[in-house]
Amino acid sequence: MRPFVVAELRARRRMIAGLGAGAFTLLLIVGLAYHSIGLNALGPAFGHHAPAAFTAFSGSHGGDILSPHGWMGFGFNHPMFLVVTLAVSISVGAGAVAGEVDSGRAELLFTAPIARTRFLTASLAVWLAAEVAVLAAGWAGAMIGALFSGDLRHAGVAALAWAPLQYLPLALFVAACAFAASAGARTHGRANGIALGVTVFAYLLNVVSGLIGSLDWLRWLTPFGYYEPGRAIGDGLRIGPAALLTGVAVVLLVLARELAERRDLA
Amino acid sequence: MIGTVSSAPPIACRGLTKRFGAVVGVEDLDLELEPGRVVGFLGANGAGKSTTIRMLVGLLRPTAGQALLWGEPAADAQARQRLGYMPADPAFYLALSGTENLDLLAAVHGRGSPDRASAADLLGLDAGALRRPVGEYSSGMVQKLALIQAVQHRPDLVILDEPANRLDPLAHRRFEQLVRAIADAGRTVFLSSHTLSEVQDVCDSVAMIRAGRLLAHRSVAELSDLGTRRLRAVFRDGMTHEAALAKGDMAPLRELLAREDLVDLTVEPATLEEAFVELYGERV
Repeated sequence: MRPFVVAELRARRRMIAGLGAGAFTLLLIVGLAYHSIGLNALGPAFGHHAPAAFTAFSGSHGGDILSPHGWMGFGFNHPMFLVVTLAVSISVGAGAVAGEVDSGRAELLFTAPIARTRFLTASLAVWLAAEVAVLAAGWAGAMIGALFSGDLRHAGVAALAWAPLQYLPLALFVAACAFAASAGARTHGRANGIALGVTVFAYLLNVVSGLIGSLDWLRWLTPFGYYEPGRAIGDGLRIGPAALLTGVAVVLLVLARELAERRDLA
Repeated sequence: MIGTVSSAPPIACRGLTKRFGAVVGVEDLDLELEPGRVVGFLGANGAGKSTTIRMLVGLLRPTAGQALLWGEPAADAQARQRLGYMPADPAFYLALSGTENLDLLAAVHGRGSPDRASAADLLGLDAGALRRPVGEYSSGMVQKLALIQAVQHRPDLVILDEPANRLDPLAHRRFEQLVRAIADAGRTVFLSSHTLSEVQDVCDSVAMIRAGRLLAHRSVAELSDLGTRRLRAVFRDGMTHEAALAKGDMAPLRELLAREDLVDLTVEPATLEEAFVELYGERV
């Protein structure tokens, strides 16, 4: 299936390059901004506790956006970072079955003597390669930005690598939703809509859980609640949440496989 | 695995049915093809040709009955190992060249591309054209590329859905040569078409479908016999007379031959088109 993976990556190379450039630029700016706006000096102003809205958008329920790790965690949970990186998951996932049917390529590809499951597996490899490329670009931007920001540099630049690693299971979860939507939906547009709708709803649920203390429990109902980049940068990769998200993603991928095997492809 | 089912027909439909909700696409279709033959698949728009073909290539799952390739369900990937398929509206990776698209499809079929060069040469798609991105192709070139990908791996069964739609007359002739060459090599071709003259020229037999049901599956000669011949007489005073001549009814011919002022008489053979119209008309 390697030629198929290569062809899909070539077909998406401009999108991957664009999203990678976006992730790189955003996290570069976030890294540079820490020093320039003197966030380390804002701690005392807020009584060493950032407002709930700041914390909610940082994605770290227990973290502090004003600390170097919390600030970079905010970068890795910035809505624009999520849009750029999850665009890969939704684009590749939603395109895997419904996209190929809409484009007409399914008539050539899925009539080959290859099980549909293998095409899904190959599409998953396409997603992984594209996602890793975009995350690597974002990580590179964060590293460079942090290197030019004294406080961040002193806090440890190498630890920034934990954030994109912690992010991969979340991206896999969203991709798995998109794969399942693609396998079940009649059209590419509908698959995109379902995957995007689920993702936006899940994100908002997590933000609300951070904003309103009594609704904190909501975060356990959304995949975004299991992604805390600030804590990952500070404490290292958190295996439990990553394993849980990966497990649910695997269940969704099995569902996608079942739907794809049974559906009509025309 | 394939060797164990080689005695089974390349295509067999048994009670094949496909419904889309309340809409019937194909209903209780029974059809069997012999190897080494070119079989045309005729029907009006919406008759169920493409639905049948899509079940035979594993894209659509039958509601009931079976679509078999060499005795195995077409939905099984293994059954499609010796299949080449050209859809009615072929779509390729537009950013990739013709060659890259062919390489990709040859790789997923896993049988190489022993007949690519000869097919490309016959259809007139040269190396320069194959190096260009498919996004720059005309619709006729896309059609030729689709034909090449369907035959490049030397499949034992080639299924073509409206294959000559966008071909120019010259390419059309070459396409017919290609189909005959495949059949001469003992392989089977199953093609749907609206162009009845093409079917008459290239096919050994024809299966007709109407409203999802098989109307007939007979040889081209047998079907043509069902049609009426056209009789055209010219008389000494320059007047002409045209009439239909049904098989077994020689009376109109005898009447004309008995006339002393007859100076010319032509009888045009029955065509598949007339047989098609008559057969379809009978069932309306």
